[in-house]
Amino acid sequence: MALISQKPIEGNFYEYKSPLLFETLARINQAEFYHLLDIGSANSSSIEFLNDYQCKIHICHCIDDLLNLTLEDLNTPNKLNRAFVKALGLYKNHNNKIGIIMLWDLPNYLQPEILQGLIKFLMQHIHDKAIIHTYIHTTRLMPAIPGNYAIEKSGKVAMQNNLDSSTDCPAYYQEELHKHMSPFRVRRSVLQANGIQEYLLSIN
Amino acid sequence: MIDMKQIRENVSNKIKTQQKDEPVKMNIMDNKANKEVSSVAAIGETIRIKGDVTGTENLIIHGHVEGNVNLKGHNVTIGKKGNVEANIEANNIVVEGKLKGDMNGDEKVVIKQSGNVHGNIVSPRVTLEDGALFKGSIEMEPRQIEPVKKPTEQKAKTSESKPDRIRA
Repeated sequence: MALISQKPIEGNFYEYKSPLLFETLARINQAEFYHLLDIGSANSSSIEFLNDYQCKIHICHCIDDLLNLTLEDLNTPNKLNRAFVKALGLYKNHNNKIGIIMLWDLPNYLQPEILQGLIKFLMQHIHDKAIIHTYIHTTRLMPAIPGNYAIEKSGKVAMQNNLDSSTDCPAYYQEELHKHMSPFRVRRSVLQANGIQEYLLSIN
Repeated sequence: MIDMKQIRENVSNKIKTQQKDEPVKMNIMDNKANKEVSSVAAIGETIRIKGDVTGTENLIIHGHVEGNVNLKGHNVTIGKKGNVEANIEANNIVVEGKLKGDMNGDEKVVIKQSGNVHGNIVSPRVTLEDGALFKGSIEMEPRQIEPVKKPTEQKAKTSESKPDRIRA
């Protein structure tokens, strides 16, 4: 396990409404959405928010591990699969079918092939009705590293502002997401004022 | 020379004093019992335990524990220097140190800022302070909801209350 320092969300953060995320979270009480997967790090306000629901959240705390994966090292599907198992902690005997996957802004930062591999890996552990929630940057530049996000009881999402350094943004459009996140398809999307497009994807 | 009279007097005095002391002794025992209920046992920094830990009092772990910790109905705290590789079952669990294992907290689980946890949590209330490290799953148990009254019970109650209303 590679645990990295988890910075608290304080100081440079801003809050914004995330209608599709809250719409997704409103389904938690339904049996098929009982299991949530948070690809990011645990934070106090998200846990506080989920305390009011009957659910099970799997916190992977693996963004850095995933960002460090390279196709040069993982040149076979087996190697890639093993790397995902290690990073996400989802083993074959993990019988819980995940209903909601919160990828946050990770797809912007992964190599497309790694993203495809990740989705393929997740397919082994999800419910038929599973929903992926993600933020896609649409501007020319995006923060150099993925953000820290916190779900707040006020109905907003707090995002740590990592704008000190920036990097080129792939600015995926819908068809590219279909390609990289197949068999998931975009069901709804909302463009935020901050240039982040919020997406909900599902299989059926 | 043994003075039997003196011995008898001494023995009878001792018995009298013991009888007088008895209620006092009971009080002491009561206090001790009370102390046991609220007392906190501690595993020191240099202590290393390999095996299961069970008991009926609260526990603070500053040392190293490898095994299982079962203190149902009591509280377990892993201190900042504590290093535990165990599954923990307790009423309230507070982690300030390092834990590799699952936690089952009947009331609450708290991971403090200095806490580092790799494992799964089952508890109706989980608090994670900013800066804490956590990897695993958190299962919030369903809150206790008032049982829905069966239609038959409701009927019975209504039929009982109706005559009262009529009388009123």
